[in-house]
Amino acid sequence: MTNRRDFIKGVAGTVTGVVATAGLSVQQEAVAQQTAAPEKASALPPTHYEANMEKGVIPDGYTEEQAHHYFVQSPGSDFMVDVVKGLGIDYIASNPGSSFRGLQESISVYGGNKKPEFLTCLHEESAAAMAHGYAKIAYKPMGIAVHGTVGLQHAAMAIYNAYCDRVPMMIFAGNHMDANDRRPGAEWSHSALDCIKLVRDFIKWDDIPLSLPHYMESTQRAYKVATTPPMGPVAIVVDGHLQEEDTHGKVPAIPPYVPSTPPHGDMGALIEAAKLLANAENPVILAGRAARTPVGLEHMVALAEALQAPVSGDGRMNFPSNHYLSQGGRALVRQADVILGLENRDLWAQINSMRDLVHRTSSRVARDDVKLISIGSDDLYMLSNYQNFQRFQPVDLDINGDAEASLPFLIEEIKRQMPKARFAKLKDRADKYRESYQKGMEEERIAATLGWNDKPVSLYRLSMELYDVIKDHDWSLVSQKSSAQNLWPMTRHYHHIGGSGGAGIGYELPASVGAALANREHGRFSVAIQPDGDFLFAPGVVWTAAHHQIPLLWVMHNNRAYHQEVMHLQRMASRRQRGNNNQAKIGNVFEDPFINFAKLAEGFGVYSEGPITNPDDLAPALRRAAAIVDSGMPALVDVVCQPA
Amino acid sequence: MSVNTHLFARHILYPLFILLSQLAWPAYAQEKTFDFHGEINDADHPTGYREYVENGCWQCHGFQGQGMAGPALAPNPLPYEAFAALVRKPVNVMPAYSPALLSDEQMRRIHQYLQSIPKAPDPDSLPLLSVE
Repeated sequence: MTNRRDFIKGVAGTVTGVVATAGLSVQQEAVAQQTAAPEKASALPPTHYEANMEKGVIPDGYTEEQAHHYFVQSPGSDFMVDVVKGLGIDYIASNPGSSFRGLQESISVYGGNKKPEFLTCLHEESAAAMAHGYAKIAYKPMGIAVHGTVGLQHAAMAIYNAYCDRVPMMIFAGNHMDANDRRPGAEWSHSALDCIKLVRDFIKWDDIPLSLPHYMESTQRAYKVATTPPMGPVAIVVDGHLQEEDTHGKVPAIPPYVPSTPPHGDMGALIEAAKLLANAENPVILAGRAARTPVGLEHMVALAEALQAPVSGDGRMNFPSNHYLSQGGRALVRQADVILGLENRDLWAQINSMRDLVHRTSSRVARDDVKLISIGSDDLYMLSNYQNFQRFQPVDLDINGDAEASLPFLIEEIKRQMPKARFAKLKDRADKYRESYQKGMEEERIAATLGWNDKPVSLYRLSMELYDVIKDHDWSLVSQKSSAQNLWPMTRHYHHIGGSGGAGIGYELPASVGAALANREHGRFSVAIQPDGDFLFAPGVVWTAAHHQIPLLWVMHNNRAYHQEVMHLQRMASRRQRGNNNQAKIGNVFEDPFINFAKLAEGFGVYSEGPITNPDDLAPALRRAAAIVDSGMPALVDVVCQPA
Repeated sequence: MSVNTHLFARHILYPLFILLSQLAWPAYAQEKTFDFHGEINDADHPTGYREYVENGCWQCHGFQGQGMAGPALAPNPLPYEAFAALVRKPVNVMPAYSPALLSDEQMRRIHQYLQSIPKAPDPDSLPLLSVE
């Protein structure tokens, strides 16, 4: 019977043969690869001990056989780290686990704990949601390392959110495939025939590599799949033996990673879309996850201005909020003769409305004769079990392709096809929307005054006191935007990061940490308006922010409840003509006792203030906390707020 | 008490007291409301506040009717007839409150509470709302 060690040797021998055909020895190839690798992706120089081990020097006092018994010269996980470095993955967020202990050691020691750096997380869900938030600022995936069984189960909810939100993530799941070598006990309960099965309904791709060449190819492929729109999480199983066995330096060359270009909409269809839009009387743009990058944001402005068409939607930071074409409301859809949807999460719900009554009725909001154009990549990858794809909306022109990648051509084609006779109408439209924008902003200011001096603090008051503190910083809202921030001028691609995607609670707090980490290298001031219920799922990530010195200001939106559920229960009680406020609170509120978030944060080593109930106390508290964030550390201000 | 003293009290002191107490009311009343899951002491709140809270209106419309998940109800609430019609037969997503759940008297008192909510400050008087 072939044992594991012999099997690995056999694989190494096969690799040797493959590489040798290229004219270089395995070691020469490996050295050449190390030399050719980008500077930021290379490992640190080995220590004296490591160098000796790599050369095969037997430590003093050991025979060759003893050394072979006790020591590993070049573990497989070192090579795994080289592959990760080659992809430019800067962080691996993880709660440590024995099924990937080899990989963890290689990241920490062989890789020097830099690019990737191991981020200490206190829950796998925190690790995955940190990766989610990080990618929305960094525009590239973070890795997470989890037990393939117990860790992946913890992480599953956050992975689902990332999948729904079309955010890339590299999952490395530890497992032990060979039953012959499993230690009794945990190594069995932490192993699975197919550990990724648990999340396969909401990731894009996965593999179980059985050799290091297989690992290298699949990890590069996984990265490519994850970062090609529609983006999403991918998973690679890292087998325990593959991590820990000695490669004797015989590893394959790592080819440079070349990303795929994003899929582009069909040119003929884009020409037809441009024709419809250029000749429209009232074109409207509904943007979902349209802008993925700073360039995407610029293209959105160019598109809107080419058409003088209003832009609605804030699933992502798609459009500057202080631009006169930033508009909202059902009236836009109602009067539109051509609607352009860009990467919409739910186009049906924007064209129609459904009422949450006993009999759920829906009605069409848009005109019957409206021309609907959709550009998006969602249809390019869709799984059937989880229904996050939303209701089917028939359209007149359905263009499969990444909206951001398709915009430059669409913009140029609109300019080319715009009839000269339309120029006067464009100016009229611009004037109309400038006027409605000013009116809308004035209405926002009036809405903000309502409850201005209330206790608990109104959300508008909290929002505007906060903005006054951060406005002179290069700020980034690393939480979901609400209407209370409608007066904030959001102009840059990092000014807000959108929501969770899957509406799985527990996303906001860790995602804010991940996004703040990505902001840190740019010197940005990260701020999150943090819901209380969300905070409580895995609050340990507050410690992670302190430990890794991630500057971030959390301002608690503490309404002492899962308030949405309070409203749902009231709706049920009213529908059934029974019960009132007290019944609606059962199971939904945090009282008897109230939760003290400031003390929780303090316990995790984070500066904190609160709970604040008097709005006049907000500004000084926020300024003190902001000073802590300016010094490079996180801080939290607990504010007891109005409910919704 | 002399006639002059009585007149002074009736026409000067009492109106002044009412005026001052009305001016002071929002701060006084709201001080008691921040513990919003606690017991309501009627003496601390205007008429109708108890009904407003106990029937869950605050959940969508805020404790001062300022709105957020639902539309703002105050200041300047709808006339009672329109308000009552919408409570009984809402046109949108708001749940209907039948007489079995909310009596006419309770609804009237809620409306009374909404009417008592003071006017919001002028946005121009709040520097924080002057965002460029």
